[in-house]
Formats: sequence, structure tokens, C-alpha cells
Amino acid sequence: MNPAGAFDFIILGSGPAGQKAAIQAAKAGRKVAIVERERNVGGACVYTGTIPSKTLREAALTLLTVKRNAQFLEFRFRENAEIATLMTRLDAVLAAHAQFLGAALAANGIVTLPGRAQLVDDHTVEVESVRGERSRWRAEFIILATGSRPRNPPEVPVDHESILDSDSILSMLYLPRSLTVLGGGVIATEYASIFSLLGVQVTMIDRGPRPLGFLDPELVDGFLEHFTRHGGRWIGGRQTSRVELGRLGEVTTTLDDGERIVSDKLLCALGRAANVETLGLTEAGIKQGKYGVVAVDAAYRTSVPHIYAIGDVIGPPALGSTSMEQGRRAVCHALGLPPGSPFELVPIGIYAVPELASVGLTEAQVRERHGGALVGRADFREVARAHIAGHQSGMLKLVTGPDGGKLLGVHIVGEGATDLIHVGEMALLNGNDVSIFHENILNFPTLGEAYRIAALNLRNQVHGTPRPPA
Amino acid sequence: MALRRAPRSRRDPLKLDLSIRQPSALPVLPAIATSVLSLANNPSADAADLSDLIHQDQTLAGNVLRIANSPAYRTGDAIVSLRQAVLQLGFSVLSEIAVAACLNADAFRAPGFEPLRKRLLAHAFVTGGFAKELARRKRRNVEALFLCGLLHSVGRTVALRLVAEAHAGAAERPAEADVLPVLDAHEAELGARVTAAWNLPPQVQTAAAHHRAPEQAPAFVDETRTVALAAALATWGLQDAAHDEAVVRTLPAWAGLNYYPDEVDAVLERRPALLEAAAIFLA
Repeated sequence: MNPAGAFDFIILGSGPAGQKAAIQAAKAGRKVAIVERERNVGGACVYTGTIPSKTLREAALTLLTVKRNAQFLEFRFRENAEIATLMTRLDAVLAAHAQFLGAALAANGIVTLPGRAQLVDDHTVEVESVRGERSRWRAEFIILATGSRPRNPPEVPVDHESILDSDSILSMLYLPRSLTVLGGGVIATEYASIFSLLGVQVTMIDRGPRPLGFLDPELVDGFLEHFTRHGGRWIGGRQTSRVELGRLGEVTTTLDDGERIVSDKLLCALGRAANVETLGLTEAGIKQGKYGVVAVDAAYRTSVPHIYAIGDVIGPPALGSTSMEQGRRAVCHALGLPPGSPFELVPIGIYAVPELASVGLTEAQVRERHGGALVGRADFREVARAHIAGHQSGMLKLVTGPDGGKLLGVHIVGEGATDLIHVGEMALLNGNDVSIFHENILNFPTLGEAYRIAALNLRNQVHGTPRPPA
Repeated sequence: MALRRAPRSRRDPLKLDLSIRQPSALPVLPAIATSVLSLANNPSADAADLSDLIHQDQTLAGNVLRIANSPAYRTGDAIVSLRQAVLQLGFSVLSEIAVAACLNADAFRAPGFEPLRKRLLAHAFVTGGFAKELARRKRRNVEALFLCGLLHSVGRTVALRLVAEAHAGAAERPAEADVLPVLDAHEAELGARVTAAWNLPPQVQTAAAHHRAPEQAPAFVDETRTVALAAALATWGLQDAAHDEAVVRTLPAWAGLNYYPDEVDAVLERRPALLEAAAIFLA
């Protein structure tokens, strides 16, 4: 056992939340340690989540582009590419990212303690190395940022061979002919659309009537139109009663009405579970909330005031972007530093095909809160840059109150949506009227032109020249 | 993926001329051949039985994948795993392929070295099993790792056949102690050549070429390290129970691949089940 060491902050987990918390504390001149159970820093976001899935997405889009331009090139398109071939860039991407993150932590004097952490009491953390050696460390503040893992309900027998979760799906050897996706959330939607684009026959099943129920319905319509046009099948409002592995390795999914769907593989994407089991929450007196997440207040304090929790371990929205901000704010609160204005706006970006993004109020929320709503729309078919880039569909939607003035929400479906949304976010943060988009100059041709088109569409409605429906 | 050519050892007391050998025909266990023929003629058997059988045999698995990808059978999509072969080709075609593979059995026996060949195959089978367990613990796809483990030492199997050929009809065969260094010397090169010739998935090619020096693998380093660890576990597993388990627990590869002590326990607990499966396979 090592002699006890002491830090101002010990942060458990080095994903987006933990990194940003550690750097914020180090920048404030505090002595910081970060505990990481995996071999490299970065968290699930780096190794099994965001980056690998986006790498596959880029590969799928590249294949689509090549397919579209096949008539100009002399080559034979290989329809059934192996997953490993599609992911050849992944190792390089991960290595570069891990190196960058490690260097950033080191440059800020942050000590990395490799191993699994457990709270011994409310100021002491025990770290077990991969070789089983244990050491104890004390800190004034402890921040829990241990992330989450796929939640696999007992009725879905995940074997990582035919029935996969979002961790194992990308280490498949080959593209299956068919894939059943259980779930209607972000991960389910992203993988369903990516594999569909790669030529896999995808069936998406969820108990909700529509996927991505938290998004503006028009965006979801856009996604479903694209998904089904590329051969995907959506089954909403149905319960899965049984998942069985057949003798040939095929997976049979039985729905509550008796319908059976047979596929080569199944992806279980029914949410994520917080990584809390081995943390010793009870020993430290920390309370848990619904679904086992760590309960926190508005300042991310747990039931023990000097222990904070951030990121996926506290539950939704469980986005990398919000997790980072939570980390920064938790440290600011601990140190009594001003955290900046409260973040009321959380942009949502979903890397499905096509991308979906949203910020501010939905049309329904505006109607409810303002007694009505006006909506300006831009169809990407009207945007020159979308034509140039070969984007076949897309839509940008601006939402205001009944007067057509102040911008209250922006919703986009189409390629580039996750970047485009930030323009709308800035306008929302500034409290701008929609007119800012048609009274100022935007580059041409760009996808950003969609803001101008939507704003003009909305102005026409205000001035009594409604645009014919698309 | 371009494979880096594995280093060739200078140790070759039997002076095998490997350059003239074509790694296009691999040995198939006669027992498996018999089983496949029997299964193919059994009207109540289905593709799952055949898949199970093929999964147990390194050489037959390789042959099936190779033949399934030949112009006679391939329908446009590359077949890179046995499950895929079963799903895409169905029982009748797959049994045809398996029987075709078995017809080559004579070309791949290693007369005079059968006990050693059996040990090699048992080791390959148990390696595949341990690789699968290791993958499962890390939430990785187990199918890929099983194949990597099963075929990791295919170069040794081929080398043994070549040794047997070189000494066919000789009054005196070389002692096993002299043969083993030859297998070691040519394993990586032959493994790389054979798996590349069969157009096996890049992970499998890499594991066959680099499992003895995983850090030198140009890609799939973790997969290759996992196979190397699985091979070490298979060596331990197939030795008698007196072999010290504590030594196995201290293998640096555990830490290198980030397996914590409780995860090590869970993998080692699979030893009896894997040995039982191997015994059934070799019976």
C-alpha cells in the first residue's frame, strides 16, 4: 500500500466531462489527479462511442459519394466491404486523439492514476491497478465522471456475436445482410441509418410511436423518409416480447402482436447504464436517483456537498458537449468561481444519415408558451450548395412566436446540420429577430444560405404572401 | 491491407525448400472428413450441425472459406467467416464445399507425425476458445477473435505437412525435438502466405503472421495481442493440472490488454469447459 497522497481534486474518469473538469481545476492552480480504468485517457466517447461510429459514418458517406460518381471512374464497386476495411482510418484517428488528450492533461500538470477507483470514504479514493496493486489518495473535492455503458436488459441475450450492443457492433467481421435495431434513441438511429446506407437491410423497432421523440416531428419525418427510401424499415409503437438466437446464428425478434423478424444480427440500443457499481457510493454516503444514476443538484453536487458528479453518470442528456460544460461548471462551483451565464440552450446533434440538429424551442413548445407560432422553412432543394454537394434532401426550420419576430427555435435535418445549428444557436443567445438572416449578407453558395431562405419564407408569411407548401 | 512480411528464421536443420510449396491446399483431419461426409448424407442434419463441425477444425474452416470464395461458389460478396458462409450459402452448398475440402484430406496428412499434428490442432482449438472469452470480457465481437485464434497457427500445420512430405519414405524420421524448431521457424511466413492466399479477413492474416510478436503487427495490434495471450492460455490449459496457474496470472499480456484480476479469474475459469470441448473434438 502506498502512503496516502493528497490532491485538491480527484476526478474519476477521463472522458469529455472528466477532462474538462480536470483542466479547469488545473488552470485554477489546483493539484489535480484523474483516475482512468482503461489504458488510455478519453473514455467511451473515444474508444467505443462517438469517434468509432463517426468514422464508420464517414466511410459510409464516402462510399455513397463514390457510388453516385461511379460513372466517372473506372473501378468495380465492392458492395460488401468488410467492416475492418471501412474502419481502416480508425486506429490513426484514435491514436491521434488519445495522444492529444494525454498531452493536454500532462501540459496542465494533471496526474493520471491508471486503475479502477473506489470511494473508501467521502475524501479517500482507492485505486486498484490492472495488476491488482492498491493505493489510496485523498482529495478536498472528488468528481465522479465514470460515464456509462450499454444497458442490456435481461430479455435480450447479448452474446457479442449475433446479438450485439453499441460496444461490440463495430468489431463485426463483415457487414450482415440484415440487422434488427432495438431502440429509437440517438444510438439506435445513428447505427440504423449508417448500416442502411451500407446496404444492410435494417429494421428498427421501438415501443415509442416514432424515433427520437424529443425532436421536432418534422425533423423525424425527414429522417424516416430518408431511412425508408434507402430500404430501412421502422416499426414503432410495438413491444419486443422475445429475442432468440437460432441454431444458424440468426436472430429472431418476436413482437407483442406475434410478428417475427429474422435477421443475421441484432443491435440492442436500449439506452445506457451509469458506471457506478464499483464506486462505493454507499461508503461515501452518495445517493442515487432514477435508473441508478448519481443524483445531483443544479450545481452538480451529489448528496455529499464536496463530491460532484458530471456526464453520463448523472443521466440525460448524456451528450459529450454538455458533459464538458458540466465539468467546467462543477469545478467553478467547487472553487467559488463564476461559472458564466447559466446554459439554457443545449444544442442537440445527431450523427445519423442525414444529420439532425436542434436548438431552442420546438414548434409545439412555442405554440404552447406563446399562443401560436410562425415557421419559416428552407428546403435544401432550394440551396445551391446542397445541389453541388449532392445532398438529396434536407430542411431547415426557424420558429418564432405569432408575430414572426424573435427567433425561438432552430431545427435542421440534412447533411451539415450539426455544424449549421451553431449559427442559429448564436442568434438565439443574442436574442435576435429572424430578420437578421435576410438583412445581412451570407456567403453564396453555402448551406448557411438556408437560414436566409427560411427567414424570407417567414417574412413572406408575416407580410401576407404565404409560401406554397413544399 | 498490405501485410509486413514476417521475419524468417535461419534455423532450419531439415532444410525444407518452402519456396516451391504452394500453400493452396491445406490438410484436413480425416476424422472431420468422415464426419462431414456422414453429415452430408444425413437427411435430418441441418446447416447448424455442419457449422458446428466446421467451427471445430482449423484446417477445414480455412478450406471452406477458401473454396466458398472461389469463382465456383462466390456470388459476389466476399465470405469472411463461417457464420456468414452458413447464412449466405445454406446447408447444401456449404456441405458441398465441406465435402470438396475433405476430398483434399489425403494431400494434407502428416504421416509419421500424427500425434504432434493432433496436439497442434487441439492447441489451435483451445486458443480460439480462449480468444473468444477474452473478447467477450471486453465487449468485443467474439466471432472475429475465435477465427483469429483458430487459425493463428495454421502456418505450423502447413509446415508440419511439408516436413512429413520431405521425409516420406525415409527410413528414419526426424525426432519431434528437431521438427518443432522448424515449425517455429516457418510458422509466421507460412501463416501469412496461407491466410493471404485464402483471402481471409485482415485480422486473421495479421494474427497468423504476427502472433509471436504482436507489437510488430502493422494493424489489429490488440486483436493480435489477444490471440497471443489466448495461445499462451491454451498452452497452459493443455498442460497437466500441476502446471502453476499463478504463473499464468502474471503474464504481462493481461495488464497490456487491461484485464483486471477479477476479469482474469473469469477467463481462467473457462479452462475446464474449453478442454472438454477440445477432447470431444479430438476424440
